[in-house]
Amino acid sequence: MAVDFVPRVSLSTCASRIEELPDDVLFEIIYRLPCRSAILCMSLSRHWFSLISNPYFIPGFINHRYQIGKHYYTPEPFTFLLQHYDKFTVLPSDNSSSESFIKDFGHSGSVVDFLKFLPPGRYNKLCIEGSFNDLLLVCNEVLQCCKSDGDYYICNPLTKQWLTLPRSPPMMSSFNRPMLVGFICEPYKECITNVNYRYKVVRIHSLTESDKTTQLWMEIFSSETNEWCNSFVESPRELYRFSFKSKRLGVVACNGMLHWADVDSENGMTKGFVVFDPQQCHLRYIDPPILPIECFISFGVFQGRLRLFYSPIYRSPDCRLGYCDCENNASNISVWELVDYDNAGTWSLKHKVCYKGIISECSTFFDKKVEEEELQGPVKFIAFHQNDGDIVFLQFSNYIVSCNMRTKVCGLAAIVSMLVSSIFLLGQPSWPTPIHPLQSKFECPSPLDC
Amino acid sequence: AIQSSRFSCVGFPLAYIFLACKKKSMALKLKSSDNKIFEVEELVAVQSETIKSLVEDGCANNVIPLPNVDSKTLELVLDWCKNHVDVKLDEEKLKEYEDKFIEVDLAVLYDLLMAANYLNIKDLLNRASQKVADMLKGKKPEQIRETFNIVNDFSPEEEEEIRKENLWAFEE
Repeated sequence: MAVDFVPRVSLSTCASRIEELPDDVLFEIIYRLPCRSAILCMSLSRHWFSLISNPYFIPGFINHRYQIGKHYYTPEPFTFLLQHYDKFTVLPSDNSSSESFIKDFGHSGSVVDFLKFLPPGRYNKLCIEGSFNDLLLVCNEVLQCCKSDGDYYICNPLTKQWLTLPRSPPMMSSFNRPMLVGFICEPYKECITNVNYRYKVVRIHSLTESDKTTQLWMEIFSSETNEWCNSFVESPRELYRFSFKSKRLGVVACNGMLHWADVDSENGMTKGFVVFDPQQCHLRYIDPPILPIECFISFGVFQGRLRLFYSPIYRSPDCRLGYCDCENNASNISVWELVDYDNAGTWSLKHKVCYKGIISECSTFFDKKVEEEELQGPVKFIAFHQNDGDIVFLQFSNYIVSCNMRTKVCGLAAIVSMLVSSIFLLGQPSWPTPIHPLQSKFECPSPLDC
Repeated sequence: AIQSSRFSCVGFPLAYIFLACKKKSMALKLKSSDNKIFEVEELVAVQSETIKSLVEDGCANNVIPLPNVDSKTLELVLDWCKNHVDVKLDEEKLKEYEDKFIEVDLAVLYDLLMAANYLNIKDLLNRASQKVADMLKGKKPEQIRETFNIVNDFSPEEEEEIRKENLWAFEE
């Protein structure tokens, strides 16, 4: 297209005029930078420093991204951290967007190296216990014998900011069962531009020597009181005691609630889901959509909604012979989403595919090293893709495969050289979540203009 | 001196001109800082929120003085506005136009930013800010200072402190 431009002769060659631009215009420019570049601009001059350290800058930056996102959907990159004892592997959402993350931390390594910015201590090992958005909850297990005694850190692996939580009160000495740990971090107001956060860490213990109990013991740390408090919570149902399987499935934070699976400690089957409201100290129970007689159930969050992943325990022998009874739930993989969260009972079926179809697609990515037996067992569910509701990550042997349940297109996502004992979702928001020191006496931060 | 608007309407379907004529859109007179008078269609000029509110308040009957915008810049800005009257236009062509429009040297870019800010023309301000942001992106502070001629008024100690506090962003 030809545009009749008027010839431009710039009389002024004095380029420092950028300093003459009104602050509003400079803000407009800086809001459009990646946050790393914006921070670099702090060191340009005193004027630029004052712009970026202005208390309204970060809320403005986040709000700008939010407004842009409303018009042009730009998926936020994310990363899964797969952990097995002292090792971790990174599973990025896609190669380009998580580039900087991998550049900083590598594809895999030891957890201690990954978290080497934490204060040096006499820890035996560092263990990631939870994640929320771009923050991690890390436990420094001081002594092996009393496993649950240690320091907790909340840290942002990108900015390497961290804080130590006060020591939790000592445990009952005879108590050495798996416990679950939940982590929630929320902005103060229902306001996306608020940059003050409160944290809650919940240690959940099952109080039973036998099979089932209705009583759970919670140790809850709140950044608002800056201390741990104990409470005993009654469950509306009898709950199985925690097993390593329930630890593997993990505690998922969603809508300000913590969720974990109620797993039959005998056979490892998920019987239902427990919802804990840390504000009200209240427990609820959610039944799964189909009784898990022939299926393993894994769960996770997709865009703020709870989702379940059903996979058959055994592949039906028929399937291997080329015939598959896809009407039978026992030979299907299915994904369900909880639709009426508040009443907690209605699940909507999102995907249902024949196990065989997915496996044969996936297996094109493995070489023959994957033993036939390996493919016989239940599918190991890793996570739901956070931007595409059709994609799930599954593990076969050392391969993590992304499977599109709708198009049945599969892709190799990562190769892991270890078992996976826990999985943490790490977000990459437009501006990294800041970590402020805990205040001994809580003061409500002054509300910022939203 | 009256300089009638002489911008080409290339890429503009006749339908628009027809529509504009049919509507009998009023012509506004804008006066630049160097006293040149531009006669433009109201539809074009009211893309500036500043001018729009003047029109709404009935203050646009005479010449509207724009003491903060020189004629060179105003000409460019009005060209932008003409090409953005009907946003339902071919998006691809519009983008092509915008990309070409914004390929200017820094001095002109500053003028455009100042004018877009003063006249309150959102899409022009956005596009020009994006252009500057693209020039800043991925550069080291020293390179940015050089490009934009920014004087470092920190002491080495102060600069080092900022670096230290935000080490993650400064690390290669």
